Amino acid sequence: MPAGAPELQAVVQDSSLVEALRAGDERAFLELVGRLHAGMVRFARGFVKSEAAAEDVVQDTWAAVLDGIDGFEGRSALRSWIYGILANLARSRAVRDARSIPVSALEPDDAEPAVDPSEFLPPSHPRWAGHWASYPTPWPEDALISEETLMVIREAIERLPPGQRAVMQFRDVEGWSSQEVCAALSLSEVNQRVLLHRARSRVRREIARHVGRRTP
Amino acid sequence: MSRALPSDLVCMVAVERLTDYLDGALPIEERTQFEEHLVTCPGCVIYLRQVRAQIAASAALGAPRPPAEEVKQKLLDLFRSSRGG
Amino acid sequence: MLAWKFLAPGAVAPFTGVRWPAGSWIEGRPAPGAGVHACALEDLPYWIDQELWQVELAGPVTRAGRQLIAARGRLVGRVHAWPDSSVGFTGGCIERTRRRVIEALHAAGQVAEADRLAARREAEAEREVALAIAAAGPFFVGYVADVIRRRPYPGTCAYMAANAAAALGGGAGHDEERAEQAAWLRDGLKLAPR
Repeated sequence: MPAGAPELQAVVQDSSLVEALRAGDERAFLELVGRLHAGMVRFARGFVKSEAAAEDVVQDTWAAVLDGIDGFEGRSALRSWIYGILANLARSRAVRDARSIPVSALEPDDAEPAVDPSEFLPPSHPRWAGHWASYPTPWPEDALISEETLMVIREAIERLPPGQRAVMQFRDVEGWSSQEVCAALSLSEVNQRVLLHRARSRVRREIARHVGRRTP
Repeated sequence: MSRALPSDLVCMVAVERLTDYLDGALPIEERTQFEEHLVTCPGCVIYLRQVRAQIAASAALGAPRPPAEEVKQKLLDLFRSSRGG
Repeated sequence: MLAWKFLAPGAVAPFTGVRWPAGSWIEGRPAPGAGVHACALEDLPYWIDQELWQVELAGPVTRAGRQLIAARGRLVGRVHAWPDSSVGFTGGCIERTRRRVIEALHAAGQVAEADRLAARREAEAEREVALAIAAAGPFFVGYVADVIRRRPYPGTCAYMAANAAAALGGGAGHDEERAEQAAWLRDGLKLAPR
């Protein structure tokens, strides 16, 4: 795993945490769990077929982490190491449950425009071909803060194809850097960005549809 | 391309470059071209604002959520037994 | 050296969201193409925004595309006549576009259409006539409707006027229109170069 600047910082902070875990510090463990568990469940959910299966995989991951913590050498960040274990377990579980993610799902498929071409003026327009047919309607200031809209976004993300879902989950929901996501998913920067672009565009359409329904 | 100015960026192409723009991944000339386009296009400015709002909302989904009490307890038991307690 | 810069309300850089502090220098990032961006007079019409400021640039200043790039910059003073006078600016864009289109109609022998357009000076009516004429044949008449419609957005209005000039006069027409826009800003806002 390439060590970029964010990774180095994390490694430095990790060593005291790893020491605490090895020493049996329950508070440190619970703090780590509190920080990572929900994100790990969300990640696993992208591979397996139910919330319960995702919880199982994450618990198995914690067990493996605790088994391996004494031998952890700190060459990568603790989080990356944990997620590496999680990814392996999630994939195995998915294969076992006969719902595997084909490698090709993480590769961008053939080029498709991320925004519906009908939103723009057609090539035949004499003056403004390719420009907005009409400007998008601005969303109300507080539209995206509501629980309702957050649920729309969450569901839209869950409906994404696996590769797009994984990238959007890591980048926009979990806030990982582009480098970290590429390393975790073995993607090139370019491929990662294409997946992110398509994911965001699909989710945006869902939001626009929802917000459009709300405004009178 | 606008019929009149073929080298111009049109909205349909601009929205495809948005993710690259936000990631700082556009080469300098294309970034400048994109920003020049925003000056001329309220539609793309609105679109950009919407995408930024969407990203912020997505981040709200990622706020750490403590695991259920029983899950926490199970993990604590796991921890204790792994540490030989 | 002194230069100009359009900013979003509150002296905020429109693309980075960074607020320019009053009076003190800001440093550009030392990466290629990064740096403090500003405008020479002729660049201004391409970067229109709500506030117009005079800025001072320091360090090596280079040109890239339609911008000046400097190592450091600071605000000198605000041009208070902007954006109030943007109505005059967009009025100029509309007037020149109308003139070009009417000339082009005459040159194409479409005198009746030229007169029809010239007769309607009130915005909404003029837009309708322009669109009607354009629908029947000469597409470029539609530009008159466009610049009138987008008058509330000076950057858009200016861009459309430049497009119209390009459609009618090629690259030279485009450059001429943008030069006239810059001249309007220079004279209308008294931005005497120093």
